[in-house]
Amino acid sequence: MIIHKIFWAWDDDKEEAWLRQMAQSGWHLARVKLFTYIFVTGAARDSVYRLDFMPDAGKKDEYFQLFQDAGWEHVDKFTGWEYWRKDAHAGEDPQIFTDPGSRSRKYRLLFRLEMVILLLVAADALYLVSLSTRYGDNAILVAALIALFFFPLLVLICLRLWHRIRQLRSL
Amino acid sequence: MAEKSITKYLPLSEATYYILLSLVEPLHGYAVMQKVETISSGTVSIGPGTLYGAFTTLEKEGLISMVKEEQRRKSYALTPKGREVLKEQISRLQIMARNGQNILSRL
Repeated sequence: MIIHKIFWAWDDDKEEAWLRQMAQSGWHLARVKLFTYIFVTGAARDSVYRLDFMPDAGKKDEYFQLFQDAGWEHVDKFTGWEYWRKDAHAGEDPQIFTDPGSRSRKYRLLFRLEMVILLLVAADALYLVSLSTRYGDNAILVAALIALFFFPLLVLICLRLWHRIRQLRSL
Repeated sequence: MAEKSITKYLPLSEATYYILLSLVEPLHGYAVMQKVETISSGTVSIGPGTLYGAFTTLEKEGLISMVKEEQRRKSYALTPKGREVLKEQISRLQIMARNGQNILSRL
């Protein structure tokens, strides 16, 4: 079964809860693609899903072995996000992050990446605007406006991530 | 009075404190998770995401170092600097506990 659904990065806990509900109904996550979740059918299980943002591929052997030793099953990965699963028994709530400071690590990393993109887009747009005024070329101006169109979205993403980081810091 | 290079790491978070305590002898990741559960009598558990991040940070700060790598598992141990930081934290906690004990009867 294929389901299309959008979860923002700062709402990954909602994504985790949704995947758990699906498992309790007998639908188990198999693959993840852009705004797309592919499930296979099976017995109803209380599987807990946890997401980590870990784009650095270099040190990964140790990372994977550690999670697997701790009983977590790797489901899929998508643009730096790793999807982990573990069955929960009576009343358990398995976590991969057990302290709020470490939980905010994924949001801090994502925030830094988004800030870089934001600055690049802003610099690019300003450069295009200066080019278009120098050469009087409207096509370049349109390209600049298209780049600027993404600016509010990037600002929103950075603000929401920052808010999530602040939430975790005050715990 | 301990040097600034030691005290800047204090206070340690509960998770970091227990991780450093466990590494008084070299251990690999999952063994640290089990040891923390044991020495804290089950009151503190460390998740793999938290532990992986802690290893990365502690190694970068020079408080632990990798001593061995086999079958995709890295073993870490405290560095001399790590030992100093831990000793300083334990002594601070002892002072805090003693002060708390004195006030406890009035609470």
